[in-house]
Amino acid sequence: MAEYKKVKIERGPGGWGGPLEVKPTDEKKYVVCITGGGIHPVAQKIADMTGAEPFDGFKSSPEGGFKAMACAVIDCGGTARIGVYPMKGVPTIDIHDTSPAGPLAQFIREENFVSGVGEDQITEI
Amino acid sequence: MGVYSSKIVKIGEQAHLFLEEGIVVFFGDNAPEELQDVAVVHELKEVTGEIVVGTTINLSNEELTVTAVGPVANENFVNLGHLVLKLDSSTEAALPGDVNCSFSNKPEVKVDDTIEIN
Repeated sequence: MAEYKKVKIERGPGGWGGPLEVKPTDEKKYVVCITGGGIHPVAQKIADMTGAEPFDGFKSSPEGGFKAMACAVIDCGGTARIGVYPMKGVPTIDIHDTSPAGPLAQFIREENFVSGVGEDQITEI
Repeated sequence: MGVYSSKIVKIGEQAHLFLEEGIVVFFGDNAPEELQDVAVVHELKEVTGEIVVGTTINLSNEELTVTAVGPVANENFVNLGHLVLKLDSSTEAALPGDVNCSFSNKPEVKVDDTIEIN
């Protein structure tokens, strides 16, 4: 059994939602990064601090799919990814300053979504 | 030389939710399944320029003219093949990923149609 730690992720100065508390488990052990260009520093930091495994979600899907995701890190411009991962039940962290919009806005809540997040918004609790 | 040229290979099951609101969400055919579900999926090609105000986009034989470009729109397109067209003629991008467009006729997007960005 791996040892996992909990982190708090707060909204950035221009962001919305949160704070989220993320604690991976053996079942939910991936910090999935869907930003293109590899693992974003925000995803890497969450993984490093919690003991979770960073996973490039744009290259492939982790074993176990959405159920295996401790959280998803996106660089969404406000329309699509912002809603897709909350809709699938995955706590979602957007590095851009976005707030609920688009046809999937109904799935986006302060309890499952936080935006404007940089490395400074992630703290150990 | 144009910015982009490709063809539509799939319309995701939930893409209509967006299309009904005049939003065309593109993802490349390398995107994860959950994103293809909400998207108009195109065969991923190289992006060879930048989308700016005044750029013309020919989608499914209808001509669109770009009226506003959000600050992360070009970055998303290059990195992910991801583009969000809002067919609302707005001259201000409400969201950072938006590319707003004016049009004469709304494109009816189908598989095998083409997208050309010039």
